Amino acid sequence: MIRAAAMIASVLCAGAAIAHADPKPAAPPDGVFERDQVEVGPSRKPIRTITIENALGDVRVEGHDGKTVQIIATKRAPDDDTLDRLRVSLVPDPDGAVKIVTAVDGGREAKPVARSAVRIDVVIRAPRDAKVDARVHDGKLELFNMDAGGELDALDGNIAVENVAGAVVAHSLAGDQTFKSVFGTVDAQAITADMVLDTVRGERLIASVHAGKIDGRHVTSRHIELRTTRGDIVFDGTATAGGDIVVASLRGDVSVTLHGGVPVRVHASAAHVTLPSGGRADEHDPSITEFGEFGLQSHPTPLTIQSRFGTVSFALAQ
Amino acid sequence: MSACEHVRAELTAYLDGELDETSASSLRGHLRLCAECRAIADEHARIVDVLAALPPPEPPPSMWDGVKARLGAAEIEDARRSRLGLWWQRVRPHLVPAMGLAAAAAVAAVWIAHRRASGDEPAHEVAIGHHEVTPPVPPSPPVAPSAADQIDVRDALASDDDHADAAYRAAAEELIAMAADAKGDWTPSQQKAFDARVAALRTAAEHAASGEPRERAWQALIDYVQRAVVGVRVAEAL
Repeated sequence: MIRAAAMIASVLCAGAAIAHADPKPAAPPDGVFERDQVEVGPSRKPIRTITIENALGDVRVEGHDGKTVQIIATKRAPDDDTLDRLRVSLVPDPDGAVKIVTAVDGGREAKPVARSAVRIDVVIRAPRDAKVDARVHDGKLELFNMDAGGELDALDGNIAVENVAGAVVAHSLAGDQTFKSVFGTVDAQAITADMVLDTVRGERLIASVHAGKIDGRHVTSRHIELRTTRGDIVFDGTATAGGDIVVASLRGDVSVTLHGGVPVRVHASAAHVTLPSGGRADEHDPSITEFGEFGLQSHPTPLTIQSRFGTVSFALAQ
Repeated sequence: MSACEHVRAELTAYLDGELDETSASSLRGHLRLCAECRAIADEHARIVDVLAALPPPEPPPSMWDGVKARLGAAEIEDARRSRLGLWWQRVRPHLVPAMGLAAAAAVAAVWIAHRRASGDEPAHEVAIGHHEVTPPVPPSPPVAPSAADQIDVRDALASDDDHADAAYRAAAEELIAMAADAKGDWTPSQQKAFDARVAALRTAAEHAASGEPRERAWQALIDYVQRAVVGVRVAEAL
């Protein structure tokens, strides 16, 4: 424990020196700001997990090739006294976990301050192989260049994941979600928001939105399930042998375009269905049509496209 | 009124320390010159000293009961008042001096801006340690603070859980209502299994701890019902 404390003290000093080299944050419209930087090195074990809870602003986690965690916190407040009440707590664990929590200090007798008047934005540069568990309220939550995925939670804030490998689980209440160049399992749910999937590959992709649309491009996951209650779905991807694809909405329109030439068995149901020509209709179920040459693959990839109150369309890209 | 009459009328206030320094000094000067008034003042002072040495009177029990009743009524009134109302009650005594300071600051800002505009004084920024303070800005027309701006940040953050809980609950209830339409396509056993599962998930959500655990429980319920409603693998979902 003493060793860990000494290590932290040394990184605090080192961090203070680095802080001056950083560019200044954008000046707030009024009030004061402070930028602090701390670097945490591994103790007994490499840093494997980073947990951050920031209800007061943005969180951005960027992977780097080093073994340390750099934390840059920018605090903004209307005056110095309020700025001093904004806290960023760091709890490193010798077993390889780092936890960062932000808060507003002060007893009930402290001067009231409006939520819009204070802010803490946190940027974390972490080893690429660390898993990230992050939660924000209405700030942005960004995860870039990491290799071990993470669990991301937001209330009203947007979530952005880019160039990330590993399993990613994301939940937002009213924040849009964007996944770009993600290689691994993705499990994403949003309630009132839109979702964009751009170049996602992995064993499984499950994305659901209650009220909002899903736009998926260059998706090549093995098992894919996209769902909306109210909201359109556009899916442009590649079917994989042995995989399956489900794209379904209750009230939205669904559009699916497949590349790659893998034979597919399409089960389409909606108020109005549009399919390309050249398919072979199933003798027993008129809602099923097969496309593509089977060749050595005896079983086509199943594709379910449906919308109870909307339309569905399917196309094969050459 | 003669000088002596005036001094005797002010004696009680003087002995209680209620006169301002100028009046007190004038009164002391008169007492040095007027032996008659000084004697009266000495007598007053003795009476004050004797009264101060007496033990405080014990209030009758009925009086204490009345005080407790009024305090209780005030606390009940506070409990009925909204958090915003309590905050207003807390800050109201500070508003008058704060508004005075703000007005003075606005006047100073206009004066500084005027001097800078006229080239009398070079513009400069104030920097304290890591902090940077922006230069004074010209006063803008007063804008009524929004309701959100009147709520303390800690109260606002604490209410986020309630806000999330209500939003997740609304989405779940909407989906469950939509499921009533979809049920027509299900077998009786599927309907029974669906109802039982929804009841279990809803109970879990309502009994989960506030914050992330409850959000997780609502998310699980929403995920399950949405799958059933949109018709994804109905048999598996049920």
